[in-house]
Amino acid sequence: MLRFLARRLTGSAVALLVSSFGVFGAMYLAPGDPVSFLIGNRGSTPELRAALRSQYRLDDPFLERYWRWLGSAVQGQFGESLLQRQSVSGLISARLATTAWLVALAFIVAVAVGVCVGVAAGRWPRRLLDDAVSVAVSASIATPAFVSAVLLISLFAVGTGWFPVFGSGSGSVVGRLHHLALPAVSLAIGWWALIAQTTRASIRSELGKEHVETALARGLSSGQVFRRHVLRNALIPISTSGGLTLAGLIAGTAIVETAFQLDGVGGLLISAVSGRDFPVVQAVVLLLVVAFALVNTAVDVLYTVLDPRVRLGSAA
Amino acid sequence: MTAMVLPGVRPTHKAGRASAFGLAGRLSAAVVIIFTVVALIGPWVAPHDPQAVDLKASFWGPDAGHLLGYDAAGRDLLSRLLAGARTSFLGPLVIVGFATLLGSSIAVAAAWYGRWLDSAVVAVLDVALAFPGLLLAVLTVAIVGPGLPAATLALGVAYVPHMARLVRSAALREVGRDYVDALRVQGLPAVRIAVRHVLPNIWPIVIGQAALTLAWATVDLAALSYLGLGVQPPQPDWGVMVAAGQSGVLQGYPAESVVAGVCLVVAAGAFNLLGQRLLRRCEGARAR
Repeated sequence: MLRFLARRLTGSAVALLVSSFGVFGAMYLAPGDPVSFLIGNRGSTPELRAALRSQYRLDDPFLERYWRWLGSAVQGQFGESLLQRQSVSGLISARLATTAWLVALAFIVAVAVGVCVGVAAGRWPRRLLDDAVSVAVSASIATPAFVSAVLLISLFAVGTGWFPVFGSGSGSVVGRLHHLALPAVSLAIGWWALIAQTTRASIRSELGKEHVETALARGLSSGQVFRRHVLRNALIPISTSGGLTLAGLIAGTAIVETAFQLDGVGGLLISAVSGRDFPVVQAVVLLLVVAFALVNTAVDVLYTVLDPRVRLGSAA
Repeated sequence: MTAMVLPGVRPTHKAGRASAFGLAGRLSAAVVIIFTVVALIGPWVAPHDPQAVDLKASFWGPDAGHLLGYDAAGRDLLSRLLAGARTSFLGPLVIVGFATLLGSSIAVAAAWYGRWLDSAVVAVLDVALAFPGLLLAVLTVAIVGPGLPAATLALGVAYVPHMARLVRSAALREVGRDYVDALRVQGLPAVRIAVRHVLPNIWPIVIGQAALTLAWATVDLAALSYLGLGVQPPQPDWGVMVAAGQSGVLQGYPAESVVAGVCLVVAAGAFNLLGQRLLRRCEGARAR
């Protein structure tokens, strides 16, 4: 168990280090001089060029620069934004709450709807409900978040006026929920379908196994067999798709936050890319990569808790 | 038919093939063909100039000459939709063509040479797969600047690991078969065996996965254009149209966003269904 965890953590750490090197080195892949790249189409003055050279210490060797950047990144320091006179970490921390709320709400929606629908379709296969679910799943997977966002705004914000058109709401929990309901639904639409698909498939394969037949033959009620034998075993693939979903939701915030004009981290990334504010882009991308690595590692750890075979396999 | 029946791709009966493919599979194949034709000839059959601005006609409803009405700038919506099919539908084809070519070359090379090359490829794929494709594309655009070429290249690179992983496992299975050993003993050069004999046998899986990847590429390229990082307005494109129509949505004229969004959903859905059916047929053929 410990050895398995150690191997997993080392793997994630190496992947993170490689990604951070990529994120840092990307700036130097841009055609031309890094200073001109950082300035972009802003007015170039000798003072600004000198300031950027010293801020990025462009006269030092590359690896030394990377090492220093990584050191301050670990402490949460990413320098100053080029567009707004504010520290990058300040910009990000002011927006973290909105993104965390959005991802959490969307995750709850996706898992709740996906598992319920998948269980229903898996338990009663080949009925009208099952067909309806498979049509709904295909339609949801094919619907991009920005299309569903625009449709939801048109129907439920402009059309009926039930929800605000944009803004993330602040202060009370009710205000947050009211503002983030439509964004969370639009973010969750592609992902509840994945969970429903996995749930239905894993429940069906469990239902066909011999141990279920044995349990039924011993006279256990079908409800009991379903809850204690089928659902528990089906949890393993469902938790994997849950982890995939969480990672996908984090990546999807950039689109949904732009569509609903929310002041979150994903929206900040897109506006920084459009405005060529590279320190902000570096910081947000690194933050997202760390979040992915954490989610992936957490899913693997959850695996060993849910499925003892993983532990035994690694010990052998 | 050659006398030797290759393992893995046995000829299937026509009835079995039709049932595995199903009505939905044929329907989505038809949608893909129609959309491809529209993407190729769209700009020429468009009834009006997709760029012609007429501010007096802003948000006008459908009339005889303009079946879908006008957008905010008074441009003919149907013409913009037809002209936009080119980047929205052919852009993903370029992306997937690139990813398929590069991904399957890497995969076949790794499976063929094995040992350290294979381990190195697997390690790189593991790191690359942890990085979401859209994020890689956004980072690339941040460096190269927005535009269709940058977005296409970035997404093409982003899909290589997905393609390579699937093709590698199929190629590994194939390389271990007897006929490959037989050809090797006969002294055929490695590249020739890989290209002429191994690749044709794993081709159905490659095509199925390519169709699935097309669905993602359609959505992701449109998303980049929607975010203002891909195709640049005023050039017509479905992702650009969804974004441009958003101001109309707020004023109660959702037509532009909705028609472009529906086209995207239908295209991505057709690719997705087609890919699933093709892959399922491969699995069925292997099981028989």
